[in-house]
Order: sequence, then structure tokens, then C-alpha cells
Amino acid sequence: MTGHRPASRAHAQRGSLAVTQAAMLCVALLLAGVVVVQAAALLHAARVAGAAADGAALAAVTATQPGATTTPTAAAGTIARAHGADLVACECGGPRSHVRVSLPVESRLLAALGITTVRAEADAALVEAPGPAPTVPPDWDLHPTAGAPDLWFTR
Amino acid sequence: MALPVVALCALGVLQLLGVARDALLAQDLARLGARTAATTPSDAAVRSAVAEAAGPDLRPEVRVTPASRGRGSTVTVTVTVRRPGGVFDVALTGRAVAHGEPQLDEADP
Repeated sequence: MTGHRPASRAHAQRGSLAVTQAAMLCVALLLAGVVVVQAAALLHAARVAGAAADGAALAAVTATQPGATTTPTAAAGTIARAHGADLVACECGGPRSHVRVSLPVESRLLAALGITTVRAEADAALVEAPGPAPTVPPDWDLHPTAGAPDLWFTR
Repeated sequence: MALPVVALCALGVLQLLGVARDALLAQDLARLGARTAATTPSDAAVRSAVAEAAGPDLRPEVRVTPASRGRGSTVTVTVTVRRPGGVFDVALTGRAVAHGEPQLDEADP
């Protein structure tokens, strides 16, 4: 029986090592999962912020047209808020609208460091077209039309 | 013992990435739907545009609110996608809001 003791101790040590390794693996997997979920949430928030910025810029440009019932800044703010974002800046009112929105995202990963909210920001700029969109590529056999604005070309 | 666990973990991460991709896709489809809804009074046109962009594998559910809209009003498009066959069978929702454009008053519903 005495001859079995060292083998038994080694077996127990191997078992303990395996349990430790399994525990470390579980912790690593858990951390990896949290990181993936958080990264996906941030990516999604960035995409939502982009949609909010685009929509807000479009609303601002639309609100500059005759017959609009609201101001460009108010229209942009409405669309940003509807996406859950804040309108940080709005250079609106002219033919060019530039908006910046900021979307708060709950941070689970950095909560331990005291950072509970991360913000995804997005910019969008739009210029109101003076007329119908050109139907030919701008670099294809084009010549400026006399008297027309520089932007517009005909074949 | 470690190898199967690592393989299972890799499979899980791949599935999670697929879910993340579908979530982004749902958001993009909602954005496209909102853009269409801002210029077209017909909900069928919104559904058609979203379905065409989603492709044959996804069958997105599209909800447009309010049902009738006009220039200056706010329209919300919610798109829900569900990809069958994965380990995680989750419904992913994207939502986008747009401002009704002048074309809405000019077009016939």
C-alpha cells in the first residue's frame, strides 16, 4: 500500500492542475464573451449614431426649403432625439447642413473602472442640390454649360 | 479536454459575430426603410425596398409608424430580422426615424 501513495499524490496534483486550468479557461472565455458583446454593442451604437446624424442632416436641409413648418435645428434635434442621441452641434440654416450627434451607450465592460457610459459620435454634412441630380457620371465626356453653375454639366 | 472547449468557444464567438452582423444589418435596413418612407407615402414601397436590400436569406419584418405621413411629420421604421439555423435564434431589431420630405405631399399614396 505504501507504494501507492506517491502515485496517488501525483494523480491528485494532476487533478488539481486540471481544475485550475479549467477555471482559468472559463474565466478567459467569460472575459472574451464580455468583450465581444461590448464591442458589438459599441459597433451597433456607432451605426445608430450614423443613422441619427444622416437623418438629422437630411431633416435640417429639408427644413430650409420653402413651406417648411419647423426650423432646421429643431428638425435635426427631433430626429436625433428619436434615435436616442443628443444633437451636439448643428450648423444649419443655409444650403449646407452639418450636424454632430452623440449617442450614450451603457458600458458593462468598463463599469468596474467607474466608466458607466461610452458615447458614440457621428457627423454628417449635406448640401442641398440646386436642381435635379445629374444622370451622367461627372468624369464622362462632360463640358461645362455656358451660363450654368459650375456644378452642372451636359454632354 | 482543453481542445474541445476551445473549439466550442470559437464556435460560440463565431455565432456571436454572426448575431452582431445581423444586428448591424437590421439597423442598416431600418435606415434604408426610413429613407424610403420619408419620400414615399406607400408602406408597400418601404417593405419592398427593405426586402430587396435584405436579400433572399433574410425575411425581415417591417413596421412603419404612423401609417399615414406627410411633409414635416416624423416616420419610424422598425425592422426585425431572424436568421434561422444558428445556435442563437434571436430576433434582432433595427430602428430608424426620418423627417417627411416634400415629395410626400406631391406623391399619390
